[in-house]
Amino acid sequence: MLRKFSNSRSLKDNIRLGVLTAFSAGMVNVVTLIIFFAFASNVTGHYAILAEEISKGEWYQVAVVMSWILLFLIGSFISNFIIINLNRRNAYVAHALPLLLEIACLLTVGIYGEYSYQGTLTETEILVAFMLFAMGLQNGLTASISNFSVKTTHLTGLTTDLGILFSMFTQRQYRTNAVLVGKAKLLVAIAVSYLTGGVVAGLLYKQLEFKVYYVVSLVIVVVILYDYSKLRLLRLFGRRHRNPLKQTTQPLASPEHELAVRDVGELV
Amino acid sequence: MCPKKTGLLNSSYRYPMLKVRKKTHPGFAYGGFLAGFLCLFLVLMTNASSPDRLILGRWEEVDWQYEKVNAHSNGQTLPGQVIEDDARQRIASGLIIHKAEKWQFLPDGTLRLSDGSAIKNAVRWSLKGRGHVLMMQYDQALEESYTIAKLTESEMVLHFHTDIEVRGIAKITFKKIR
Repeated sequence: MLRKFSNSRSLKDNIRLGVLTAFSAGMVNVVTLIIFFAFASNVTGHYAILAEEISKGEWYQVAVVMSWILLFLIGSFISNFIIINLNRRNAYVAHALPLLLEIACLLTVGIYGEYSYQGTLTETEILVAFMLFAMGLQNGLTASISNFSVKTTHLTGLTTDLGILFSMFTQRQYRTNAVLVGKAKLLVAIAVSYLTGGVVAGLLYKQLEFKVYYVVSLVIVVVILYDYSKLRLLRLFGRRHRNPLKQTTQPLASPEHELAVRDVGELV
Repeated sequence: MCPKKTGLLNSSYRYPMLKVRKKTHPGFAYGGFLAGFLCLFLVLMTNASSPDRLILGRWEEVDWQYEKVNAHSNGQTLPGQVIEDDARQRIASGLIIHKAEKWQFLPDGTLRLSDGSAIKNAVRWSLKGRGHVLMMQYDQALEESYTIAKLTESEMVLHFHTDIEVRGIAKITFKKIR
């Protein structure tokens, strides 16, 4: 799920990554909305709010929303920065590090919320900023390692792509195109998973309140440990000498990144 | 000597913009962008008043308006307008702000609601989101949220949704008491 990069990833890898990360993103977004009355990942909405606040001349809110958007951008920047700089040394570590930073953000908000949160506006704004940074990290990671196929918090683009794909499927030639069908499966899986994550978070919030962020952290830990355990097994049984291309099914797009065509075995 | 005659035509002569420029490390550009953003952020934050400071003080209700209101008995929906006091009281009867006319926001997070003479309720208040949502908590159980549509030194407008007699948004306007 995390070891493979860009075009060496199969559809199955992307679906696994997309489902788990979209589930966590849905949880974070809904619980942040319930607690802080602000979206953690709806950057399109934040741009609209920024424009509205500028037009109203509410400069305090302009500064706040602008910094939230910038933090999402910085999160995505850091994620890809780590990947392109550490990928050659250790792909697994390069891909897991942004998720570890995300967990750190989630735990910070969870622990602070549980023990110290007084409900002031400044606290709210800072904690929402943490969440936007975390979502930027996650979205940057998933988009970067999947050759922009998986964007777990970008539901506007996802719904647009689905609309386009569904209209293409009205013609037989596209319905039988395995790449397009695979893409549609991936997008539907992400959308359903995001929604499910949101519903689960909404239900859990009644019982757990700020502890929901710990649950989200656990989901991210599963993403990290899934590949770690697989790595250990691969090393144990010496499967890395097998032809790695047999493990992949089909590429989702043509290589665009200089590191896109790396061998899976090399990464292992 | 003219370069055309000597055959010294080169790209930098024909296209002055293509002259080799000293390369700048992208780190400087990123650092400059962040520093610029930080300056803008600080200027905005220091010059604009934060909603949690603006809201402090005593406010008096001056107007209640509704998008659509039920007529008294037959349930017919009328277009939005200012309605009578008794209807207002019925609509607000299930709310924390019931019978409140004067609201006093204190810095310690207490909101004193009074009907003009005596204090009716003392609840906890806090602002959420980017300062656009006013939360009220009464007795650690009852919680209500109002959208702050406008907040200035002298005027505050709150919106809230209710399904009792009103379809859509109810709007309360306040003036600050000096």
